[in-house]
Amino acid sequence: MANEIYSRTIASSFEALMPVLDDALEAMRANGCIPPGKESQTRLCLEEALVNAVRHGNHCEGDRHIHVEVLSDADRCTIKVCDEGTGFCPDAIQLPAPDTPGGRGICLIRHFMDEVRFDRENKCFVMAFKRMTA
Amino acid sequence: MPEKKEPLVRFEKKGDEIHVATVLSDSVVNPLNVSEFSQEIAAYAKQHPKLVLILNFERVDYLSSSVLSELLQIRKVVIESGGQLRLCAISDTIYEIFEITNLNTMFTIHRDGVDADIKRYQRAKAVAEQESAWSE
Repeated sequence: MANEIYSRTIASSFEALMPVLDDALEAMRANGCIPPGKESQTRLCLEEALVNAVRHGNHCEGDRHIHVEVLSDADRCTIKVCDEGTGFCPDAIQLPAPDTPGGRGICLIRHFMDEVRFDRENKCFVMAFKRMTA
Repeated sequence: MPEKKEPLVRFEKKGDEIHVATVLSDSVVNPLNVSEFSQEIAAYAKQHPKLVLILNFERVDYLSSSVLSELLQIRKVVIESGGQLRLCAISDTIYEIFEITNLNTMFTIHRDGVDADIKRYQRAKAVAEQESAWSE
């Protein structure tokens, strides 16, 4: 059974997501959820997911909301970012041509995280690190 | 009173053509100010056509995809003004982000600092000038 180590619902804005980014990372750090040497990459993935939720999920509409949840169990640490959009298939997103702006966030998340998917039922983008086993 | 905004980048001129833009904080990865970061540099590049702009990342830990998009915009502005853009003091973490996104092919990137990059640029320029003289 996974323990919820962080949960917050915020207004869908870039201003509102900054404290969530810091607080969620602090909770992950405190619960040993960040793999050794992966602090920057974890922050990057969380920021990309939150920015996508504001920009693409909620289309920058400030009256919408984003829910962020971090779950921890013996095997993995899971981050869920839920918005009010229609969802998307992360595996279908291809790396854009080098001279094209935008569209690289999901590719970076796919590279750094062990699991990436979209939970259509709950409209949540889900990404997870597997815990290192000794 | 409106809050006074701190600049995100410090510009220094090094000789006739080289300009160094030092990113002053890792807060430039902040989604709130990433456009401002790009606008500051683009405005400077437009004021100094044909500049060789070395963007110094020594204080930056990581870059988000939003920053990568802004860097592509900056590159476009610099090239259109007849200049060159070089990125220096790029950490292993940041270089990995360029590699994953294939953007290492779009930028001149070096891991060492400003002084080493200036020397490298000047050496390459001197060699190019010698080659040009030989071919005349």
